[in-house]
Amino acid sequence: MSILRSLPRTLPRVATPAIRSYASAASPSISVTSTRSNASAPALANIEASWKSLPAEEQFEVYQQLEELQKRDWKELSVDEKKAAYFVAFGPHGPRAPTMPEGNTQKVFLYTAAAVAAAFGLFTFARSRAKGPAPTVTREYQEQMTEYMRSQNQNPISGVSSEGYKGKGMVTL
Amino acid sequence: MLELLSRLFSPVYCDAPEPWQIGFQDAGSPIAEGIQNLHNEIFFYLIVIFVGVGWVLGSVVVNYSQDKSPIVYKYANHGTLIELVWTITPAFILIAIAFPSFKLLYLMDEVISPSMTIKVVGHQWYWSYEYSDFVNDDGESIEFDSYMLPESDLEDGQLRLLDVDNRVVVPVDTHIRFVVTGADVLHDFACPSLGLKIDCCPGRLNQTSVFIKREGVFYGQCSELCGVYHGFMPIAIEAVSMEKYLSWLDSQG
Repeated sequence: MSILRSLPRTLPRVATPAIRSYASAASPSISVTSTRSNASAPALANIEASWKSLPAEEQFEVYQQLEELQKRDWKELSVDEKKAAYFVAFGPHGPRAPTMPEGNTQKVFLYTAAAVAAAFGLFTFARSRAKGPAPTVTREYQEQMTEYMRSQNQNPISGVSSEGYKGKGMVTL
Repeated sequence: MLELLSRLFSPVYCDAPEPWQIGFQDAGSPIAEGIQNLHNEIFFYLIVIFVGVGWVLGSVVVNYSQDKSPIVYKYANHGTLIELVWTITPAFILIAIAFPSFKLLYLMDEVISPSMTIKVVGHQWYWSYEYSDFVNDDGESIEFDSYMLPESDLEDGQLRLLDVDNRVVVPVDTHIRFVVTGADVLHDFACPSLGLKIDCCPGRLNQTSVFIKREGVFYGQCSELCGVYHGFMPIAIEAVSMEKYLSWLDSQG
């Protein structure tokens, strides 16, 4: 019988440290078997803080203990038990553990900015070595292109040859 | 910046591409009109879907946030009604899109008793055309090659990478059949403003038809990656009146 279960449901929070100290003192000497009782389970209060430091066997034990607790009426669970149940099921551990510890936002930003700057530098270098624009990329030629298209009656509905056209045609410079 | 945005988002209609164009080129044939109408119809459904999905997503984000309901994903994991709705509704939307789409597809496939036929052969990297319905003084059918004008030969505002030395001259208001093939590798004979796009496969003849409704010059490009100069074998189709077309034929003699 678990110590937690043997205690009344209205167990005051003050009692928790006592249970924790008992559990942590008892844990090293107890071997893990399938028939092991929950007597050595760590306290459920503040499980978020202690979860990572628990050995796998004890984590499994807590998990089993919580499963048993949840089979009963949930309304009778204490806040700590509810929090522990939620944390074990959905908390940020195992596959849900954050890939990056908190507080590294600046580092990520700096590395990303450095990568963008390097890419921009590479682009600028490549552009500086490339051929210049085609001879048609001048304002004079672009105006000629617009006239040429008009002479061919091109884009007669709303393009350069349309009535009342006010756009710049092929001129981009 | 404002000008750039207005150029990006204003619809552009033309027979040749214009700077910053993102819309369709102006339709010069009934098929191109059909394609653009279908696009607009589908866009209507796109907006309906966008609003519906956006509303659902927005509702979920607002109503089921971590603060309001932290473990909702454990319990709100099944709903028969909503699953029926999001299965059947898309099916009806797809049916509504499919009907006009197939109608247009089969309409485009039809080659309606053409008045003339032009053979188009794609080469690496130029086009050759043959007017088999007409013969010259030597009794041979009219044929010619069409190469892109190089940059050094451009003059008077000719369009770079689009203008060619010999255009395909065709009459307006005439059912024209194009029979296309490739001489070496796959090419694709395409002209957006005419709704033309057909693969030119070596060893195979494909055919399509076009009915050009107005005079003008319609530009297209090879639209199947065919090698290193794939981007330098444009297509220029010049639609002229029947009188001008006949005089052009005479000049080919």
